[in-house]
Amino acid sequence: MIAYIEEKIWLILWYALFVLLQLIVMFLLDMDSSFLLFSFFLYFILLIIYFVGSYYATKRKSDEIKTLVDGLDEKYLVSELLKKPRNMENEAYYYALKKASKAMNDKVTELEHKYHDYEEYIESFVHEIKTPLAALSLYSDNKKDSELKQEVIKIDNLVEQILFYARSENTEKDYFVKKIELSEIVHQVVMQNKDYFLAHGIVIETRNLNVIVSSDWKWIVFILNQIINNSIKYMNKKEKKILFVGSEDKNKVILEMKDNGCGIKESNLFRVFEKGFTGSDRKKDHSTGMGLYLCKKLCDRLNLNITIESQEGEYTIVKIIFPKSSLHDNI
Amino acid sequence: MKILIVEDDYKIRQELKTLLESNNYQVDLIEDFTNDVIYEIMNKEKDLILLDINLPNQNGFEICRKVKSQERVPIIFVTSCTREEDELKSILSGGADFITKPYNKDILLEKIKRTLNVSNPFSYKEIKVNGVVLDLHLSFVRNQDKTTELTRNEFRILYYFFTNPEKVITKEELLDYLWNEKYYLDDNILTVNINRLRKKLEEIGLVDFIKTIRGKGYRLG
Repeated sequence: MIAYIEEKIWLILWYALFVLLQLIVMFLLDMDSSFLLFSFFLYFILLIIYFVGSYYATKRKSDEIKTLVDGLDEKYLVSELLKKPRNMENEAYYYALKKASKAMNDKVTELEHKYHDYEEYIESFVHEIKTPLAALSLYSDNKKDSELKQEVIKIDNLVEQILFYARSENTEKDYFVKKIELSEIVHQVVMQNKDYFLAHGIVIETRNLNVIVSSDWKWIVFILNQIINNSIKYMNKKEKKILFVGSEDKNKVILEMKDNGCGIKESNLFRVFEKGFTGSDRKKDHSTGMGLYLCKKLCDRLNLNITIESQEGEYTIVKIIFPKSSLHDNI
Repeated sequence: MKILIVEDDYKIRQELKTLLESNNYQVDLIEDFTNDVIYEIMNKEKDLILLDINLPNQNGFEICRKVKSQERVPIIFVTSCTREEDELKSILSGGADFITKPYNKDILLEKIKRTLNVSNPFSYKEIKVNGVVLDLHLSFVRNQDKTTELTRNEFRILYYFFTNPEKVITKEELLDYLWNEKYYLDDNILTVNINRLRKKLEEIGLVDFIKTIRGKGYRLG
């Protein structure tokens, strides 16, 4: 309303000035003004009708454009849907919008290309680096060099993080659900970290893992491995322990991992899934802050729930919750 | 058992060979990838093939299909990155299993063993060494007319001794075996278990049945 009045203010002022001048002239010439006054009045009424009508017409048009924009998912495409305006000023705006969207679309396409190239580069980089890593890993096995082996595993873990980060944007391309027993997933991850566990005297306990879930093997192993890697980073007691427990009810299967590490402050608990969070007073060595962030992100993608609870100085429990659905049971 | 390794990376090839040979497999290698390797593969004697997917000038899936059309030999694929499509392709082209780099030694050996289908422990009812019987179904040991029951851990440990009766077994080897079987014992718990096992064996008249070989490991006596 105010915007409309602002737009028409000069017209209104001009009209007022015009009426005022007429009245002054009539007054000076001492004319009989009743007829003229009546015609002014009539003109005034017509003008009001015009303003009200034109206000609503303009408002309808501008509302139309606003709803159109709000309803669009990709708002930068709006200029393609707008009607070409017929007044001069709007035409200029229309022109500017067209140019701006075009320039932005070009930029977006360019960035998409760059991103795609980057993604491809990451894939091929990881692919290539796995060959010397495999050679190193076998070499350390054959030489029974446990320290070297542990370092190789660390590198591999970081490399996997890059790969899964790059892939996490489009999991649907790479997602293959099958039935897996929890014990098999845990076994895979435990074996991957076996040398570290044995070298650092970390006791592994398992309970009730003969439960079946439907999920993607590769992703779930990655997630679990990140959680375990996080656990072992913060072990501070003499007797180190990681416990895996499976449980099941009508609607879900839960895989629980409990460590007896240094735990997490309650005030930091909700932040551990944030990107780049490395803990405020935990030792920060070898932290990228990506591990748990990726876990959360991938769990969201895979429709799993992940929760964390902790008692500072005592333990940390991470739970992965697999919802049961009749759909998956039929696969 | 003879394993043929088809892998273009020299270092990996050699290390795999060392690893497999130290686990009592015979190993043969394909080293020249300039020509079609099918002919060479067909001419070698083998019980299993470890096949890399990305080879120079050729593709592992294609090789697998061709080999499979002429011979019934199990093939395990090895590759750098898993994409689901790779895994599917490996199944479709007739591969028996699939392992990703960097190879986890234990998982690789386990997959080879499983593929070659070596000795299923529960296909026998009992194993006998020097007149001592290990019952595989009820998990107890019998010496003459005396028996003692074993816990899960003790049974697994003794089972490994009974299946390798002449061999000196190191702690590392025993741990490797146990972890593969999903018994994640650490060094201390293993020692505790062996000591308890020895006590139980003594109770049924088997003194020093598990001998300590100083600096090496253990052996059944």
